[in-house]
Amino acid sequence: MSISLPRSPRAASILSRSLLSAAFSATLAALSLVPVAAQAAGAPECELHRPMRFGGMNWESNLMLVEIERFIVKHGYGCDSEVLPTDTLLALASLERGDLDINSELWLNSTLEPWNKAKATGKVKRIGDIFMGQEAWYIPKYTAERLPGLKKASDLPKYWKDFKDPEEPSKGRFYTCPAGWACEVINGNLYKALGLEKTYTLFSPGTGATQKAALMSAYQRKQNIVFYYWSPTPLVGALDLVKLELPPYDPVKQKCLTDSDCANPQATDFPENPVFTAVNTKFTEQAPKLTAFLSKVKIPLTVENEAMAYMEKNQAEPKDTALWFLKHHQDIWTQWLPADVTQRVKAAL
Amino acid sequence: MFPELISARDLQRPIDAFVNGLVTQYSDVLRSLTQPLLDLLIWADDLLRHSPWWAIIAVVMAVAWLGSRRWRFSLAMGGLLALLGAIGLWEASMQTLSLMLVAVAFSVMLGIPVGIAMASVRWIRAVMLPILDVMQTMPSFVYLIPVVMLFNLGKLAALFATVIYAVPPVIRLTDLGIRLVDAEVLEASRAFGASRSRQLFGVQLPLALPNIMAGINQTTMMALAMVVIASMIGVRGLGYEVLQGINRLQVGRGLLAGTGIVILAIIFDRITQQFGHRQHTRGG
Repeated sequence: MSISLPRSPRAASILSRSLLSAAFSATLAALSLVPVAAQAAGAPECELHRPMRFGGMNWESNLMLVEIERFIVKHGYGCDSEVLPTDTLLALASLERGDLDINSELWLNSTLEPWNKAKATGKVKRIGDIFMGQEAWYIPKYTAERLPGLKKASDLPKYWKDFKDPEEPSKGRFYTCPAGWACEVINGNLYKALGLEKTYTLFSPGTGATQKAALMSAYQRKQNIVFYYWSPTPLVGALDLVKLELPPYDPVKQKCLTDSDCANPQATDFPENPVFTAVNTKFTEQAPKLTAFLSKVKIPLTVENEAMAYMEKNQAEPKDTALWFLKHHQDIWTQWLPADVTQRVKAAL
Repeated sequence: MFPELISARDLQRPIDAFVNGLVTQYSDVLRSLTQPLLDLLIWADDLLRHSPWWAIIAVVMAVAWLGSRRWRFSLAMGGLLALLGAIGLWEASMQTLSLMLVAVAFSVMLGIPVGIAMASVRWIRAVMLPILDVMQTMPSFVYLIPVVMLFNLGKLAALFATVIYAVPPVIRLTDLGIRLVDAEVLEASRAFGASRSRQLFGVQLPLALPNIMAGINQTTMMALAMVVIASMIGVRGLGYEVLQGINRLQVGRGLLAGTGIVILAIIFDRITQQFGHRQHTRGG
């Protein structure tokens, strides 16, 4: 097959664009010779003889990170890449099968069980920690100013009238996680542990998109809301929020909170949630240089939050946000790369 | 590549700004205006969830009997409903049922007058047809996100979504049914001196009834198809069970809840069909 023929990114992109049927392969083989001859001397040769496949999980920080990595992979290592839109669990399954090469952002606590199962097969590898994700119960700053007594999550019962649920006016409304997410179970148990059953409804927003829409709308109108959210996200990056205090983190209590059958839930803070990159094991063998780069990817939380806020405020596309990051935070990404690769990426910016 | 005449961002931004302005300025007014609607939904939900299960089965069997006048059919419908309870989906089914009943009632109340108007006035038809196309094909999340921002998550947003998606069949089939009424029959009624409204209520509507009933039947089916979407905007019920099942990869849970939706659909479909059938046999 002609897949092994191209030696330059341009040739590979011609291929990937027009490789619709094997019947064209002869023509293409001839075509691909032209760019090979025209190739500049310093241009890198990709370790993979096919486009690299990213899992395009649909939340903002991942979308941005994928674009950052693709830019570096393209201009620094001369590899073409493609993104397959997917969701965490499906992406993990595809990674295990080898249909994907990389999932840039896996949130450990949210995928603990499936990840451990996948890791046990030896087909996937955890190669680098990007940042520590955080989860919390939030209220907006203006709510905190209106209700100076509300500091802890356990204070909530006193203030239910300020968070009235329009569908159940005798209770307050707490916005938990979308249906079926791991945090839905944890929040459900915390809700019981804090004794909120009598005064609050545990309101599930259905999906991430509608959850964000509802929260943003309430914030724009300066309505009081109390909700669960996670960071780094554009929402937490762009809004002025205050965390409600929970009792200090206790691993034993936390373990029970993650169990939907937890008999006697007790309140405890959320643990830090390591966010890491996972790759297919075969990919690490085929592309050691790319693996070395990807395992060094690490972004400080403050920068990540800044990028997310940039994205939200400017309604920027993931690609634009990635470029913004590459331009404004060279001190961070240059640490991930060998000098020659850094040069090439800088030249492309 | 198609040449970029207007940048897409320039088109998108004013729309975003418009929606944001709408949310900050009019959301509170809209919410208080629609409060009665929300109260109705909450009332229907309470009614169905807090009535004893046997009473609800009895009501459904009675309605089934009225439609068909056949005891066996009525028993089968009651049995299917009891099956929902037997697989542990009673409460979820009632939540879904209450939203659906309200949505279907609204769709019929809106749809039949609009259908009649379309059949009688040509320009209304010309305006409505593309609108109906939009309602049936526009992906619901496109308009749901602004609706959620304006009206908050929950039953009200779900009612909008369901009505928008479910109302077109009853409009289209009412329009079609009336236009299919034989011109000669209409002319005969005119010759006997029937007024415009007598023509409509005495001749056109009765003759169009089989089609209208088919439209109502399709509307109920479409409303049920929106149950999962409704759960995505914070409505509990069968759709929520399906969503949880899907997101946790619990195939069994999803399948049972999905079966629940199918059972509700069968009950609705058969009962409305029986009504339509009886109308048909009486009319023809």
